[in-house]
Amino acid sequence: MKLFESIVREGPLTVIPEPENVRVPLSCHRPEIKCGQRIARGIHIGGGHYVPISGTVTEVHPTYVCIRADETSQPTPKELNRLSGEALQTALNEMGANIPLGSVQTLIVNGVEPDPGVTAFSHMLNEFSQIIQLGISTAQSLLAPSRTVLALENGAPQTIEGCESVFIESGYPNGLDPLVAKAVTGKENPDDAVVLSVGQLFEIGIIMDAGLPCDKTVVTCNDTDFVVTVGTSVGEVLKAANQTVNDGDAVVLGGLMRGQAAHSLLQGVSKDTYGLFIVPKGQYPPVEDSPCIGCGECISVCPARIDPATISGYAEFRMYEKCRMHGIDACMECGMCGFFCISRRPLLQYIRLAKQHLTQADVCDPIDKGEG
Amino acid sequence: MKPLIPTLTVSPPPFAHCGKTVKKRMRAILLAMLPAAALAVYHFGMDALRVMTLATATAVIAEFISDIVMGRTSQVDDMHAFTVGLGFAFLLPASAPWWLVVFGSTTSIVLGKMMFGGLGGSPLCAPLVGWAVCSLSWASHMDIDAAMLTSELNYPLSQLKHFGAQSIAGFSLNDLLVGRQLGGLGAIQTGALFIGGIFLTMRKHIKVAIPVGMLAGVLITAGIFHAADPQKYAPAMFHLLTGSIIFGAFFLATDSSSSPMRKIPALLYGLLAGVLVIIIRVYGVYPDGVPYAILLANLTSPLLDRIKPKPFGRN
Ligand code: SF4
Ligand code: SF4
Repeated sequence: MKLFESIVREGPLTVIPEPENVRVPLSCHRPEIKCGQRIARGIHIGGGHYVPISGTVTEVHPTYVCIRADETSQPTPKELNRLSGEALQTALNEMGANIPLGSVQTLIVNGVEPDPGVTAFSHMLNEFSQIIQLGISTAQSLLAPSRTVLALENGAPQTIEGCESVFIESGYPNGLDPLVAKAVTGKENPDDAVVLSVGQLFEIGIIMDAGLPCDKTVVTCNDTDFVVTVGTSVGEVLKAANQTVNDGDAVVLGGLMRGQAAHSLLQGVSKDTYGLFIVPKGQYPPVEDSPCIGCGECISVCPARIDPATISGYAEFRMYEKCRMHGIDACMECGMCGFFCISRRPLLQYIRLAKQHLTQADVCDPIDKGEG
Repeated sequence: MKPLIPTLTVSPPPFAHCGKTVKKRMRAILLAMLPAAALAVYHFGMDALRVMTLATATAVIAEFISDIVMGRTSQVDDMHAFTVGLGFAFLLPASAPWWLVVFGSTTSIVLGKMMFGGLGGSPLCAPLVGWAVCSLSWASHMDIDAAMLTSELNYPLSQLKHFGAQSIAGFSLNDLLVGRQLGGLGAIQTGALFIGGIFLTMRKHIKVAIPVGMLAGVLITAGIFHAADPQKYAPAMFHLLTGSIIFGAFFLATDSSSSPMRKIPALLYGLLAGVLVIIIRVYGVYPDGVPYAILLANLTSPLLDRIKPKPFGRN
């Protein structure tokens, strides 16, 4: 995989028809719904997950809910056009939009692809410009920015009316939200700027348009961009993209640098999935529990300017407070350190582990703070 | 329960990798040392081959035995032991007796690497540990002049040390480049090592700041001495091409675990090593100051690594 490749994909998006059965991913909690219940599109299942198609619940599990499509229940769209200000914001956030509160100086529309090899965002800008425009004007009305900026990869042709274009140096990880915010405002983690990705604005646009939570996402798979209904199984998308999976391969939702591995081909696509990749078994050297050899590769590529080698070492020995001293909070989880580690250490895994322990330690203080 | 078909591999991100591994890096380093090894055989014949084979074989076996003693899975197949052995051989006179080679190579691995927990743990450059122990214990066997009495080649650095700057007029820079001089059997193949070093730099296997800093340190310090008194002190280029400066700058100082990890510290570390080499050569008892200069610089690298930028968003 190349980190610095710019790919252009044009032409209409391929729409995968709404499936008969969907499997909505949940974040490990038991929802308040039961098997056999009829349920309409847009109902909140819990944890920011919504029913993407009306139908009957066929299976309930802490990590997913299966629904079979039928026409018996009708969704009830909300009249969002009449709302404004805080009421609109609350309504949107209740449908999963996640718009921050308050007004800001700069609204940044992040149109840079979120992961190498993904073209979903620029394709959305081309093909769904109206919906994204609607999303932007909604965000503008809520955040009242004095400046709206469209951040694009160097040389990208897209424009949006009313947005000033700023070009970001091509190559991963320059398109990450904090780095884009820095490129646009010149400040690191500015408090007066909000970054919304094209994917998020697409979601807001759909909510405003339909009055219902977003049920679609654009997914890059095998050099094609698909419009996919949330909850469509990974296997169906792969089939549409003519991809075959073998034993031992990894199927990745999202991108190769920041994505999440699917545990089975039945797993459903979530609303933030922008890519689907297969990593054939044996393509990359296996991750090992090997010691750091101190080569410094990870440090030189880390956009957060922290030292993943030292931090992962402390995490291995459960010295989590030391990780904090070395600036683990600045980590953007970009995956660069793990990509370049010649020892093949699972650096991001160690970092996430330490972060989780630190959050836990913060919540329920005197318990485990590690030995640091 | 029926297994899921197909069974997928699940792991945290990133799912891709740049492809560079420790083994590949070691292979590249060995490849970069190959021309120098070949020239060493050309100049010193079977003697050089004997020392190199013995040193590498001993290093590999010593690491394997250490792994058994320490009760851990051996990673000897990453070829690091092989590079340590060859690096140690490069510093020896071609006439070194077999027991010295075996002892030094074992010491390099055991004291310089395995004692600290294996690859990545050592604060010192492994081959130099073996070299230092041997040169303190058997100074006459490690002494290039004494060891190579029969050779018609000369050791330029001891000429300089004992007979002053006039005595080195006989060495042309070309001779020095192709290794027509005495010294560590591989370390003096300066031209070949330079090419190997450039190869490693271009393949990004070593931090370029270290050789740049070290060579700059040598050139500047030697230049200052030479400018102050050209009669007494040798020119900077002479220093650069004699002894093990090129070998040290590209192959020893760049050892990953004993050198600083960030750019600016790496540059300072290189500079320090370079300056120390010339100071030892001018004022010290050792004709070639490289091994001790690098060992001393090694000791400063944890300190230098404290020079670091603030994390993102903390300004
Ligand atoms: S994932 Fe690694 S490289 Fe990326 S910000 Fe975190 S520590 Fe740095
Ligand atoms: S890239 Fe891996 S081996 Fe190199 S310093 Fe970082 S953690 Fe250590």
